[in-house]
Amino acid sequence: MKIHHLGIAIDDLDSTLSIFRLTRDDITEIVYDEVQKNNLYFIYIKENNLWLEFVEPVDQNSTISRFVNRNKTALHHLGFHTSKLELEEDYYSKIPKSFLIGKYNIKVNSFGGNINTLFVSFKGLIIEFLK
Amino acid sequence: MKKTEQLIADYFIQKEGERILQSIKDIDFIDSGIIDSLDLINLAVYIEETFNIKLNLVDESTFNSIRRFDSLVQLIETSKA
Repeated sequence: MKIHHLGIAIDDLDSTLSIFRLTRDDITEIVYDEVQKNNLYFIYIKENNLWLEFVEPVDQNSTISRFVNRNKTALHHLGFHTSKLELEEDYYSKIPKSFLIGKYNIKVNSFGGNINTLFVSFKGLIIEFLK
Repeated sequence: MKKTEQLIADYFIQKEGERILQSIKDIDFIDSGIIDSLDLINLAVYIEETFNIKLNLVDESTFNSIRRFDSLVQLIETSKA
């Protein structure tokens, strides 16, 4: 399993960028997720061959909005690339204390265009698989 | 309270304190802010450990049932049957 990106829930974009010594010029792409009602900011970290995905809630009633209200800025999920989303879904649906929590399709040019994603949780850890 | 109700109430008491009992049957757990995305998972883990029931959190009707005490109890009772 290869880590593809770190999903970080944020309450303030500029202060979060500063923690990583980044600026708005480092943002590769901004996507509005209409389903989950979040602004998504994508930044590529060349040294690690890794993406950062900043998740900024727009809808104040969403569960991630409440996550941010409680945690302010915090790691929300780990993103892994997979070639077989169905296998991941099957695997994680059977592990005790593991739950499928969402399946989405979204267009992110930085990630190659239209991508299918699967969110699973193991206890308190949220993992996103994307194909 | 029936056993299922008590076990669910115990979860929220541990989380929010005894005072939650005053309103537990009247509130929407998500709208009231008692449950966020991580709490939802923690609750699902608790239900799995306590009742040996694995909830389908992707299912919309399950998600809606979790929002309120009575419908959550009903969901568990139905899943046990």
